[in-house]
Amino acid sequence: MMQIVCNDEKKEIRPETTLIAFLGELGVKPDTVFVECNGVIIKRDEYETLVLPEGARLELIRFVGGG
Amino acid sequence: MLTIAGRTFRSRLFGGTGKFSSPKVMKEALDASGCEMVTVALRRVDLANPADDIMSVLDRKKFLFLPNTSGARDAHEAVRLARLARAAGGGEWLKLEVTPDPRTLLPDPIETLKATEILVKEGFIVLPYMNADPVLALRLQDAGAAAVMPLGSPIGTNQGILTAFQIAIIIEQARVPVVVDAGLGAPSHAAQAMEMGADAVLVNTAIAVAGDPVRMARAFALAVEAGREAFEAGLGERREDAAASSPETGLDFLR
Amino acid sequence: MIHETFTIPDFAELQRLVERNCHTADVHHALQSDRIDIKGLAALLSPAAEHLLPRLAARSARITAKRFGRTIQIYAPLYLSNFCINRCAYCGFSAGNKIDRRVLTMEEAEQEAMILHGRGFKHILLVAGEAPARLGVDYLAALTTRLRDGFAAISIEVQPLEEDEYVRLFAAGITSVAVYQETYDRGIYGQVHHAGKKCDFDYRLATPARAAAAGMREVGIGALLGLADWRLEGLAMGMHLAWLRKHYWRTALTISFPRLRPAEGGFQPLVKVNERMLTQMIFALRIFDPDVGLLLSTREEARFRDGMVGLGPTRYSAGSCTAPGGYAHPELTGEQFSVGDHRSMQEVCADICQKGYDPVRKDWDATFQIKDGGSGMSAAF
Repeated sequence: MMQIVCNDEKKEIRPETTLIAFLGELGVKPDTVFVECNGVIIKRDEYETLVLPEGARLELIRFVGGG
Repeated sequence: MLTIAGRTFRSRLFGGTGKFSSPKVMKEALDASGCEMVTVALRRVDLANPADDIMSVLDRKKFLFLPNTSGARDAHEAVRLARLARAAGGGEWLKLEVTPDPRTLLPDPIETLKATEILVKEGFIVLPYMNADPVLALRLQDAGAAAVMPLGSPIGTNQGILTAFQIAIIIEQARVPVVVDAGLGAPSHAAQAMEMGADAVLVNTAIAVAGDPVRMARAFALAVEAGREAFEAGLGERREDAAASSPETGLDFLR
Repeated sequence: MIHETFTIPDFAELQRLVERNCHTADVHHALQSDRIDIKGLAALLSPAAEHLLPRLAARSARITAKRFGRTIQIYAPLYLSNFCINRCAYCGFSAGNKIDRRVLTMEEAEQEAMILHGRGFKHILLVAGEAPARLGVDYLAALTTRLRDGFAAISIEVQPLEEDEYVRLFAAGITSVAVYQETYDRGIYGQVHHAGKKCDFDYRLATPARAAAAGMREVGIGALLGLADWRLEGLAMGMHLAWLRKHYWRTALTISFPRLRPAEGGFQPLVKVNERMLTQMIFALRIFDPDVGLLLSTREEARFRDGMVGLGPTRYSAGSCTAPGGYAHPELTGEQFSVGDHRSMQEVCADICQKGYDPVRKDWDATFQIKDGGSGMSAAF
């Protein structure tokens, strides 16, 4: 297992976990969020191929209600 | 018809998506309002409630999303949020909000201008939320803002248009559309803004927290239409001195 | 900065705009509105407003008092040269006219300025025919540098220049630029401008915007009355003014209403503009734009200028001579036109005071804008 940080929370993942698999484990529908990994915005078509590196800092963001 | 950055809008009422009791009420209220543009905020996913995606109830073909940068306290944070919003498929449209004071949520004019300059260069269609300062409005316009959004009163206060004098000047001077935002607590406030010649108003809290948000949305839609109609019809002067003045001003020197 | 171009609708279209807003009710509505738009201006310029002239005067007077107080700004023109490459049917300086031509040397120009300074003027308007080879930007910049310590404001009314040239003159101490379109009617414009660079209607029309873009504190526009329909000239000026306001909000604006005066060449006005028409136009534009400065020069007679104090105009020239060198040498000929008000500056000011108004000789010190480090006090003053 290895550690990453997602929205400031520490998470344990198996090595070679892709972004899309990680979102699935969290219960997040991939098309409702967008992701910044180590400060870089990840394009939607890269969700399936991106393997999360050790110590990655993820930001999961979505549109919410606001004025 | 209202045109902002080349896009036309039939409705001069813009909606917000915050503070509704449920996604269902929000959808019904926005449908009733007739608005074509709605603001949305960007937030981190709540990992405790990861499936909570309220925006999916809204038809993106029907509503143009206007992502805001709410929460940003300086230009740097606002630019970062703006880039995220664009990456998220929010398009180029952006309601720029920079509010360093958590108590009043009043916008920071200097950081807002800085962020506008940066974001316009990056191709964003920037609609800055601003205090009702006429010179700032012109500076933002010169920096390339697609519209300006002066506040009627501090956000969420429902106080109506406390800045009428300055907003009147902004409306008179601006080349870009003027959208009165924040503080409009009742349909009469929205009508007043429209009667003054505002191009549009943005209403969120007053609709979201009304006893019946759907009916209140309709009430705002009617008020906006009435106010615009009155503006286009041409209001009479409010001052009394016109009639009181002497029509005898001496012109007998003329030949 | 965005550089857009102002365009003027043709006069047939402006005529329709007046015709659509020419009912007495339209005039009453315009008189009772907080702010009027271009349709309101059309109504105030229309024949329907003629019998309501005292109402227009009262409203114009009230707006003027509110914005400008009980003051009239005073300035004098300083004619530098009557050489001109243009052939304009109405102008005494027209290239074909046989008049005594001269361009003042720096020393002569300074001598003229010193006379005006001695008479109490703090604001002068440098005027020249269009002959860039004899009097160009170098001359104007050098002269301004010599004069600026003696005056609070120096304006120019010379050939149209490029934006970078205006930038240079502003840095030298020029505060404002006047460029009159003469007529906004493109057809008439072509008829009365026979030769020279001035034949280019569009270049001239874009000049106020260039001066404003260059950072000038004030830009003046105007039409020479007696060439085309005055109602439509008024409407066109209102449109030009509104456009300049929207695009160059940092620049103050003025309008001038020169009526054709007798001049060398014997040109007869193409249309009649009497005093009632002129006042209607002044009142209409004042009501349309409460902030615009309105100039009334010595082309008009003393009786008329005294009568108009407080009703709309905000700036008067005084003691003017329109021949280069004419202040030092009153016997000189070669004037641009003959003036209608022959009073001295002191007499004009006394009459303004008599009416309860303050003649103001300066309201800005150009020394604050100079960018070449300043020259120290010029020896001349």
